Amino acid sequence: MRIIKTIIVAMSICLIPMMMSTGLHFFMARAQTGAVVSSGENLKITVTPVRKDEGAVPSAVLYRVLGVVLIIWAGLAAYLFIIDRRVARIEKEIHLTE
Amino acid sequence: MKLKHIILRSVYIIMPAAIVMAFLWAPPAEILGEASRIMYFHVPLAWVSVLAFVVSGVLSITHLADRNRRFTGLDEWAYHSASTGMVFTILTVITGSIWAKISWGVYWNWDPRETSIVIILLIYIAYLSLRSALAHTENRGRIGSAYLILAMITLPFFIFLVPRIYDSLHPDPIINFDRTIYLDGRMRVTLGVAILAFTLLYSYIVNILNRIAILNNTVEDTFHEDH
Repeated sequence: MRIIKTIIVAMSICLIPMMMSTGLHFFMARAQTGAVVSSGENLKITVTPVRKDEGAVPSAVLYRVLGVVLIIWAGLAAYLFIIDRRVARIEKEIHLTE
Repeated sequence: MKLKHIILRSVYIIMPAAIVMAFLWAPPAEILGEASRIMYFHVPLAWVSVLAFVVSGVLSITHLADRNRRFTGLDEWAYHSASTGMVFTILTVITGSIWAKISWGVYWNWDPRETSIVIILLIYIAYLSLRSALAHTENRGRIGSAYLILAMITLPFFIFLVPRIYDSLHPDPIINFDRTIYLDGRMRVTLGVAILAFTLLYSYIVNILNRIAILNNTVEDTFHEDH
């Protein structure tokens, strides 16, 4: 549980400055333009995710991002696998001694 | 190996498949282009967050209703579900902020949906603090469970009502009020696989945490019996 707590604290520490800076940016933008960015009816974006380029070749950046995401997943998967194996081994030992 | 473990460990295959499908197989969206691929992470993460909080609430109800103590450790399982849900919620906020930067130009603009998620985060951070404060107390399980039930009751209000009451820049949900899914066939399949992968990941993590808790309790019980 200590690991989860550490992750939560680390993520919260990263999020707070990000929210503060963008919150400040929002209020400064509103002060300059007088526009309410979050509730402007004219600014509302409607996203209809439909197919664009059927035969388009993915860019090099896409492969790079894919590589990074796969590396993150590999790290997490390895960590989970090791913990799972250790827990299974201890479970086996406890059941053997009982 | 039990069927349950086989299903849970299938996450090792389904998650990389979902990642590759999201980047290489699913087509880009019309307006957002390649940036729309973050949807295959943001939406499943949000779904799993809600699922984790609902599961923790249901486990808490079962814990409080079980007066004869037929099931032990349900409050701990609820805690594991809630804390894992917290991690997924923070990841939802991070992926949502990246998406917001791409489509709105800022990471955060206090949109109703963003404000709701912050309040939900605060509610569950308070739960973690409460549970830590009540360590080694007899009523820890009962008080924690009661809190989780109350937290679960507030979820529909913050997730479904608030973003619909106020104007929001956030796109409509995938399944809209008119029950239409505005997604291409391959996008739909990719999103489905991603949701399955993240649900399995959540279940797998909670399963490991629960097994560790059971081992802890068994070792403690054996220690107390010996002394």
